[in-house]
Amino acid sequence: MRPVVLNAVLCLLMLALFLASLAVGPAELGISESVRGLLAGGGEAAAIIMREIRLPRALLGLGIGFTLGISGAVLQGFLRNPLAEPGIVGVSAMAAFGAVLVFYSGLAGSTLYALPAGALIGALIAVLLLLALTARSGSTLTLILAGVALSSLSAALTSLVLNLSPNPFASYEIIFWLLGSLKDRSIEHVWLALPLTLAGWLLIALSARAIDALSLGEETAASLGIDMRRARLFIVLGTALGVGAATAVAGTIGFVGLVVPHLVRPLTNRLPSRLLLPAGFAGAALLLAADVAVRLILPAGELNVGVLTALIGAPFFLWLVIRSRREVF
Amino acid sequence: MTAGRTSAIRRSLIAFSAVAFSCVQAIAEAPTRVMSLNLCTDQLAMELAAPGQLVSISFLSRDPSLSPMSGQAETYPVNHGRAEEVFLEKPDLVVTGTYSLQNTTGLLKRLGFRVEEFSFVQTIETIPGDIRRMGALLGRKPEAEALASSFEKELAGIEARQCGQRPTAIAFEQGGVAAGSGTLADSVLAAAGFRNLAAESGIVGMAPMSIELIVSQKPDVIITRAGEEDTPSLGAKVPYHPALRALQDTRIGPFVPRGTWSCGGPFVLDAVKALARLREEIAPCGALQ
Amino acid sequence: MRLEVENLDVALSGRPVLRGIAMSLSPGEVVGLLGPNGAGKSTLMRALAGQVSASGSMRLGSQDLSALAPAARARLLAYLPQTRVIGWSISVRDVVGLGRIPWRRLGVRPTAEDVEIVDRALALMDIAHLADRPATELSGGEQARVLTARAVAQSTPALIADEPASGLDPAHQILMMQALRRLAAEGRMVLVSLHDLTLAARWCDRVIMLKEGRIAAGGPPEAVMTPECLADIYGIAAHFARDEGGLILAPTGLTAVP
Repeated sequence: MRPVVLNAVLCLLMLALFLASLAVGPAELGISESVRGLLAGGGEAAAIIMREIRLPRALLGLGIGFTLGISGAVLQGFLRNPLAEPGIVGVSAMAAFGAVLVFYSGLAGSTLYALPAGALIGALIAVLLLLALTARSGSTLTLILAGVALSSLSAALTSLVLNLSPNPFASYEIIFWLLGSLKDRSIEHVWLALPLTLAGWLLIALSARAIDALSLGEETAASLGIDMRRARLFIVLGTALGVGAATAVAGTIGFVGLVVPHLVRPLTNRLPSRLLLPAGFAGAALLLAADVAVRLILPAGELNVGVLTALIGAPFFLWLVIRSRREVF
Repeated sequence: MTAGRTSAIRRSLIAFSAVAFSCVQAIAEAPTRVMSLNLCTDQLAMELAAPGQLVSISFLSRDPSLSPMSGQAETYPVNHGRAEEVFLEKPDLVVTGTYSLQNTTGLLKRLGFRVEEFSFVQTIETIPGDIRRMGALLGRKPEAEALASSFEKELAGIEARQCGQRPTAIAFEQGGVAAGSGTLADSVLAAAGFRNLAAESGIVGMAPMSIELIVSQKPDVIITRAGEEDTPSLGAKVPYHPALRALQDTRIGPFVPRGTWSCGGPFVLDAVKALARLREEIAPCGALQ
Repeated sequence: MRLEVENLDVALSGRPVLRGIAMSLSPGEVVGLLGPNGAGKSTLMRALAGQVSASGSMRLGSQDLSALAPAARARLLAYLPQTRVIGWSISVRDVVGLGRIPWRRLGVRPTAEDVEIVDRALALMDIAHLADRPATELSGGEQARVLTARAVAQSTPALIADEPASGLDPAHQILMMQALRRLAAEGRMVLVSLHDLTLAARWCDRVIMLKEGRIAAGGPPEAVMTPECLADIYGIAAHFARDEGGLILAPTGLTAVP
């Protein structure tokens, strides 16, 4: 498929699901009522619901999905490994732990800014650890095992911190941090995540040539004039910024970054840089769709969106492992 | 653990409980060593027990965000609801909640301790009964009767001041959970002269209520949990979601003093009074006439 | 424009690997870099490509190679590493197109010139018929030529190829050497490390012999590749023959325990 056509199709799909996300919610609003509420504003219930509840939620779904998709694509390109993904390699889990540690300890008062700050530090440590671990042997096995260790450790530490919190209700929030949700987010969360996410996208976009060159190995990439230290810095920071910000406001949402590049790659010429934009669009579309689905499946209790992405993603991951078993083991 | 060790422990437990049981038998009517394992029985027991009668209360009672009697609780030793603590203390009466420590309660009963359970699926109407029951258990019937009847009288007084003006309210807890029908909060709201929108929307017990529904119903008051400022949690921020703050005619805040309606006890009156004052402020009865 | 190396020293983690290297390359030349394993052939090539730090002087024409930014260097000198890596099933044409990276700005589509250069590189390496195949599905010999074409598409005056013929069958080895000769005929300078002595003797204009980090001998194959030299550098005896294409060398045994 030609890149322009592919990007246009995926972008339209994303926008359609964005609108669907705006249309779904427990308050039954008609289409004209929703549109009027969204555009006109004011103190009417419809306007508040559209602008303060559904718009932030849809924006976060779009931005976080895009981030997860593009982060998965850039990590796979960078590590030349089709199983790399912020969730699987433990970056999301570490980001969640960082956010939980800084926020619930009350170190920064109860300000929401503690969340992205902590998540960013956690994500950064995770990416640096992974790079250090895979520098010696870049094998899939090392990467996945390191990811498993990092994920379980940070999930355990997240639970520990929440259980030790002086707030008796904090332990109920373990499920949010481990399985992610876009429920009850507000425009504050959008402002919290957006600048960091945009900076992450920019850094990842600037690494486009580097990941292309890296498909021929580090030596060739360096001989093509790629500054490897700069490229590594950009990708580490870009992923940490994006995934950190996403996790800070929505918890750990796994597998989007894994599934999406694989679905989209066959439709591209397979150059890692050409995958970035479509993977972003498709990631946004997937997360928006999952978030619409959780609201339709269980309207009252509302499933965590990470449950749904794991239900789709984990079997897919297993299939990938089986397919590449010879390489993995 | 090996079978030998297990049975050794069991033997010593049985021996121990036999001692404890014989103590209970010896003391007949008024127990002298009472242990309370539950935040809510703590309150009733602290109100009614004679000096020295209550030997330990649950650790939660010292938490100011949960317990309106945290100051008084400092003067009692605390327990964490563990069976071992009970063995060591050798009480002749254990009071606890029905749902709180089922495993511990069952074990204690099997070992011969006298355990009295209080159901906390309660409403404001069940409180005087619970006060009287605790009084009877502690051998403090006159004190309990005085407390219960003054509770009934004050409550009746507040209810008498109600009028046709019934503003709407939602008791919105951590993480977007609302108090629906059958809850203590529901009956407190009714006593203070409010309509509980959560119950009217079909919510039963404590259950999640979506912010969208609350916005579309525009309650006059959203009552949040008090005392969460010092220990951050995400759930505590839900009742202050910008969508709810955007409701211009809705008051949001911890209008009920800390911990006063988390347990069915005499303190519930403070919650009713605070809410009744709020109701009077929002919708003065005089305006109706 | 000539490549001039003088007084080049390289140390890897404190251990001297290359000492006092002096050499030069002229346009139109294919120069073979020979020497036993561990003599420093790969290190010398990496130093020229700017991938290990070196002291001494490396100049290409008027440019001081060690002072250039990576991207500028990549427009003067192409490097083909020994290990062949193709990460994704990218088409042959796109792999070769990666050679244009130093010439392209971020986010700018390939120009008509880029496309033309890639086409010429494909034709030069005789892989135009494979252009739309995924490079990962090709044989080792074909992949080697694809990756060489990638270096060719870099359009640099100098090409440095680390054992491009290793692991190839005899026909593919000859195809590879023919292609390098065509590049030289276009006016480029080519430095190629080889293990096959006959290949070096018949296809290179000059050979440079490395031993323990120093240049032991250099010059036309006929002059340098003598029995004494082979005994000194590789510790082998060889059968020598000659035909119209040049020397034929077949190692027959060891002269000393290596």
